Amino acid sequence: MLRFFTITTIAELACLISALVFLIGDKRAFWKRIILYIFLAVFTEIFGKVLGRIYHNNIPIYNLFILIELSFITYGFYVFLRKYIDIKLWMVCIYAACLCIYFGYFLIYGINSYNAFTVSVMSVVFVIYGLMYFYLLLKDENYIDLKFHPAFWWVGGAVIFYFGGTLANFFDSLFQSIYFGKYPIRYFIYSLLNVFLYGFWTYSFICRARQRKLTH
Amino acid sequence: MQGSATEINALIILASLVFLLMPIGLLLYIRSYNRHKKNHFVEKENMRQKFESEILKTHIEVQEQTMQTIATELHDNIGQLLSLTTLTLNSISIPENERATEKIDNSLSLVNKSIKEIRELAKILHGEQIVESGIGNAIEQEINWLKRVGGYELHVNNDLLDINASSPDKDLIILRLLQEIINNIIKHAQATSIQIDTYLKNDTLLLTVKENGIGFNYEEARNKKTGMGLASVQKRVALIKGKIDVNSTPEKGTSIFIEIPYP
Repeated sequence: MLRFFTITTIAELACLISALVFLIGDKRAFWKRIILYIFLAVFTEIFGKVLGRIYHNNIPIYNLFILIELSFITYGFYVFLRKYIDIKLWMVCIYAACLCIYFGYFLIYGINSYNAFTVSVMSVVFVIYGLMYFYLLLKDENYIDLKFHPAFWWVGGAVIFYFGGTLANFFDSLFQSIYFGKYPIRYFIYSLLNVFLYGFWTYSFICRARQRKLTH
Repeated sequence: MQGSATEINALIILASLVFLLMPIGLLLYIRSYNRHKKNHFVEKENMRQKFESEILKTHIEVQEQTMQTIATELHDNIGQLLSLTTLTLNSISIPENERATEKIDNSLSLVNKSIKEIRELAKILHGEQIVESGIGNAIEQEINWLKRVGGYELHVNNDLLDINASSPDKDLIILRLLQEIINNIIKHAQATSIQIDTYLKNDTLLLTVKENGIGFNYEEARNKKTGMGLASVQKRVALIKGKIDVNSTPEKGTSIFIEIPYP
């Protein structure tokens, strides 16, 4: 049982609980949908571990989650970027290109091969979206208190995660071969990235609840 | 050979850690930049407020100057002319024509009334002169004028008549404030009763005006920025660092509470 509770699953569960606490009454579609997304992330993580133990193959479920991740994170960046720039057409085109890569990979390598190529491509795309958001935020004449700005912390968490993820993908074989104690160094890097991602997102939910309370 | 491979691995891991820290550095930089942006924003806002305050001050000064000129003109020129007319009319003697005498008497009465009205108007317009005798007296004169206008049941508690403190700049603005509020009541409120309370407490001058008119939606008027009179009152209060609270209930009337640091 304890095996299911890794640093990543604990971070995800904590984030899911905080999403349920702080976002359940939110009227904005994005903040409501993020609860479902985190639930799917937790489900994939736990179900993946179950499948791994029983069938010794959990790659298809992780491959399926890549599609959900690609779609939701693109949607999230669209929600935050559209405030500053009309980027819908570009984002749709990039999303379509990512989908081609995603499905093309399975045509060549099959569903039982982890689609790391799509993950690498989408990580780079998300980092670019994130940097674009920061640039537009700095360029904007209006002052926003970033300490309590949910979008800033959401994007911040995503940028750290995908920036680090790009690096981890790049040196994937190396990080899998080097062990630190019982676990490969890859495990620590991903655990750290997940803690950052879900930590930042949890804080963004708190900011969102505060923002909602202040506007009512 | 193995030692050099371990060194390369260690170097890659170290470089990766540094690389991982980069987005955190970026976030910190953005927050720091944002803090500078806030300072700039606050500075800009302060400058805007200062500018608006200066504009308002100038506006009030110009208005005051104009009123003084009108008051002087009314008193010295038109008033004199009317006085002269009275004297001329008085000097005419037509004993045999009763109707003419009656008409001349009526004219005299009208001219005298006009002179009186003009003098009263000149006094009101010449604010600086009124406040010279203290804000309490100035408010009393304003209330006397309101009594003469008639049509209102007045309840007045003016505790400022015996105060020793004075602030000529503020006095003039407070008087104009009261005049603006009374004008608003006359123009819009359809009130039958007005209560005015003024007193000084702990270096704060309190002015309360209550009436039983038709009332209005204060928030709506503020958001729509339609109430020029109300906006003018608020701006004047802000100019002398005072506070204003307006409570209005449709069909029940309006209460205005003003607090001004005094002197």
